[in-house]
Amino acid sequence: MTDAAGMSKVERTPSPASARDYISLLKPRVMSLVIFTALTGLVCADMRMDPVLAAIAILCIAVGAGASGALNMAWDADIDAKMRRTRARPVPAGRVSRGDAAFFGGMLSLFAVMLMGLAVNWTAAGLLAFTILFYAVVYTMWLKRSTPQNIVIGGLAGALPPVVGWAAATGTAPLNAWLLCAIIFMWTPPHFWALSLYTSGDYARAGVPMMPVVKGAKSTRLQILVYSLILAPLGFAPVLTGLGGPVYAAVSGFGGLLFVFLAVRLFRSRAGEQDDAGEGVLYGPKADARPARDLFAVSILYLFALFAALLFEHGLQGGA
Amino acid sequence: MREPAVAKPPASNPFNEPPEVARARRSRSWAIALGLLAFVALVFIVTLLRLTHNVQ
Repeated sequence: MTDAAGMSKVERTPSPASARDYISLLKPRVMSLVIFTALTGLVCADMRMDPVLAAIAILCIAVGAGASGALNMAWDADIDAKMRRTRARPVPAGRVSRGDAAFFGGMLSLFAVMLMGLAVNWTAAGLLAFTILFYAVVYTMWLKRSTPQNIVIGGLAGALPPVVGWAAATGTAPLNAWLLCAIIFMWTPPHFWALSLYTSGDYARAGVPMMPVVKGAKSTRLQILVYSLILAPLGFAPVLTGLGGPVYAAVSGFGGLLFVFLAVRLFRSRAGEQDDAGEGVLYGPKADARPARDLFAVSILYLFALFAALLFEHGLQGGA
Repeated sequence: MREPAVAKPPASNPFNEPPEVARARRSRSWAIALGLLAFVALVFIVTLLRLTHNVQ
């Protein structure tokens, strides 16, 4: 087909997507958590590394995490369109096509892994590639729609960045790096299930088998308690392996006790069993939702405090 | 026979797009340009660093 000027014309609706839409495909908030945990892994490795190469390693991890987010949004556009929390995202809102989002994510993944391999080392690049593949393929394409254990197993993708950071600094992934991974892995279920206890209506509408939707609120509260009871001593374990010092010991000890206390309070509550907040309210107060909201908020603070303590102790050591 | 005159689109909007689409396209173009520039700079810096480390 040709236009009046004799130029060939491709039948394609002009894209209304701005650069900001593409940035939001990268899930910047998730990216910031990934940067923080990866940086902690890199600093805890206690290996002198060229600061520019260290910054490039963190950039690669951040871009890799963003790329996973874009691939996730490309695949999950149908689910996102049904959930109030996600329906304004660029793909379900129609500003970016699924193909463009997938291409964007794929190209960024390649860029991040190749640059990590060429500039830093191939162990870190391999781990980064595994993390992206695990999130995009195992979690997004397979687990998310098929099992209530989706965030338990899929949580591994979110738990790996400290290992990638550690490998970027040393080329290896020792026990302490995997300990950090295990802490995030065990933290993920109580964190997300606490959130889903008061947003389960959204997940049910989208057909996502989150734990409260499939097994009910009571079973979810019990599982949150079990994971919390494992998480608290696991969070303290770096003190025993020598990774954490006195500041970390205090933070993980107090934080772990608070976490378990809130998990017990949540278990004894009726959170997630009533949904009388009405259609239009997503995060609004629901009957007995307070314990779930408190645990969700404290879980974020807990993980942040643990990694900040490690960063503080090892950062001081490196600077001394 | 003379062909009917075709109204030429203004140079600032060669694709005759609505203003918001043109604005979005411009922002994407800028982002791509800056991204490419950053990538070139990054590869240059990495090359320099790797060369320096290998010489040392």
